[in-house]
Amino acid sequence: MNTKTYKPLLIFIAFLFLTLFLLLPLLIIFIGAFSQGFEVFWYSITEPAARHAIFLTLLVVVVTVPLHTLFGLSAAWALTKYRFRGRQLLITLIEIPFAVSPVIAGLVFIILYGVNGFLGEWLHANNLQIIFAVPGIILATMFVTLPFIARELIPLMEAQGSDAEEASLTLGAGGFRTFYHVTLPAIKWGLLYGVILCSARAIGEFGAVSVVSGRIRGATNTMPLHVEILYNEYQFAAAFSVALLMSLFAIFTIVIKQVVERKQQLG
Amino acid sequence: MNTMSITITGITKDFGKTKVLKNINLTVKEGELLALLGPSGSGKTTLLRMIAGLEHASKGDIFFDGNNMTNVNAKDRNVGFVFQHYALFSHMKVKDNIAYGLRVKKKKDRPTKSQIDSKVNELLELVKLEGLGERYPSQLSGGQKQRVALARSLAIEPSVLLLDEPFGALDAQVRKELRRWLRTLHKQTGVTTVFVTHDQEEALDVADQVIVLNDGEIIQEGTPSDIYDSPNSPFMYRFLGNANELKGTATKEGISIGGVTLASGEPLADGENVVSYVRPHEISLAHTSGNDHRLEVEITKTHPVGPIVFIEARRLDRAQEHIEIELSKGTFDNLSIKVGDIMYAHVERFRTFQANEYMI
Repeated sequence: MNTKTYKPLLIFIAFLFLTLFLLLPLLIIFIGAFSQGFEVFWYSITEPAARHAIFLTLLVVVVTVPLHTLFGLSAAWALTKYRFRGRQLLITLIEIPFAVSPVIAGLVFIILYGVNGFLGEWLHANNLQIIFAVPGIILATMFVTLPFIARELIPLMEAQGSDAEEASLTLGAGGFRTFYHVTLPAIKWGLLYGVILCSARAIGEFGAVSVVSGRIRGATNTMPLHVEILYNEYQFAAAFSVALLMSLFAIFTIVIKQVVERKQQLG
Repeated sequence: MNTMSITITGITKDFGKTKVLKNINLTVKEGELLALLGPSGSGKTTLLRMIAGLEHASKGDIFFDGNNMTNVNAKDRNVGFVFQHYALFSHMKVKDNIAYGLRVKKKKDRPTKSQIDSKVNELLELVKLEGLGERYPSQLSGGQKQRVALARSLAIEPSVLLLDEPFGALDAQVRKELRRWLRTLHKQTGVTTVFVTHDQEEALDVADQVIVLNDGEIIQEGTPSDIYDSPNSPFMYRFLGNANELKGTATKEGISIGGVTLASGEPLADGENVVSYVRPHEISLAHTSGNDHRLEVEITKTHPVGPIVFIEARRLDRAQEHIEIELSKGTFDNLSIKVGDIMYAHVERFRTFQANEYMI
């Protein structure tokens, strides 16, 4: 067989898999969400527990993403513009969250900050609660989403080198001006892409959050946890409704991602 | 323009254990166009980047007009720096690239908008890119990009202009044009200029003064004709290329090469291994052996290019090495040389060095 005969076969396989594992489930979510009518759907995503879950998820995104933007920029800057001892180690460390199971990540935080954990007693004495509370959820999400922005920026900035920054420097611009006028415009689409991926993951993270959250309805429930609870309570239509809302978030980010990718290629 | 001289004293640079530059001392006179020439890894770019403040010396000092700049930040040195790969700001139009250095000045030193505009136009004219100010760098050819980079670096009226392999990324044709043009531009602006290159032809063609670096040390400095006419070491001959290398032994009478003794004015110990360098146009040929023409060769190749004929010949003495000879078309025709002819070569001019210091 030559490559020409492979072409339709490969395309067929790709579409088959996408249909089975992506389009069909999405369709089922859609059908499930509206199985008891629009009113049930609307109620499911506006009742207080759901609203709180949405609020909490967005709060996590709002805290996590800016912090990781800052971290990603600093780490990528340090790793690509300077050569120093421990550089390789830092690159490896940034990738650890990709390799570690989110459940383990959650457990690590429990061991650290839980009541019986290393810092548990001290935290308790000072009336600080991290595990089974919002800070724990944010910490767990931050762990899981740590690599996204940095990993997007490092290869990009590596490829761009430091010539433009050095040119700016010799032309009399200081560090901040150089960053703002030269570096940022050159990496903005890559940065935005990283931010989108990071947000999508922050919204959807289940494993790590599930371990540290305690799933207190109306207090420490994020959207993915809320979906699972509803499902376990046989409230299928409600579960699918919230799931649909999350899927819409996801589709929205994918659309933005497509636009950004096109811009990136053009730029 | 207020241009400055550059003085470098005792500059040394180590990267860990490797010494990139070893105690470099040099002076670039005000208004001079100097080439730093050397093979890759010779430390020439590091030295240039140090003058710009983009790299820091382990030891030594850099002065502009007698002011010690060693600890002055790159952004405060007021140097123009041109990179091999242009380093233009790709998201800015050509005119904004050129205006950048003026726009980032502190408020009190910043020219007004109209002053900046007229300066940009003046520079676009200087680099022969009138009317391209609204383009983006991606819409320009390599040669045009490099001219924008030059205009951008000249906008701040730099004390010195530094160019790092400025034509290295361009086609041969554009390269030749641009380097001639750089000479003209230098005459027009008069700014002290240092450029780095690994291309001997480029250095000799463009610069007033050439400094050859190898392995972190200055090997030779002088005017292009000093450098070309009297290379001071085997390295220089090899690096400049276009010279025959003849290995031999020193004797009382001169230098014995493959059984033929050439008279040499240079004091060399008897019996020492030596190597002589002869440029191809400094060899003549004759069909019969004579007083001068004694090195027996067989012609293996003739290649006329315009007024010059390039000849390759094999030595018939012990060495059996090939030598290259250049004759004028007229001489070549008079001698009616053909491939396969056995002829006798006369070395008219050569320089001899001890062989042990570099032989591999």
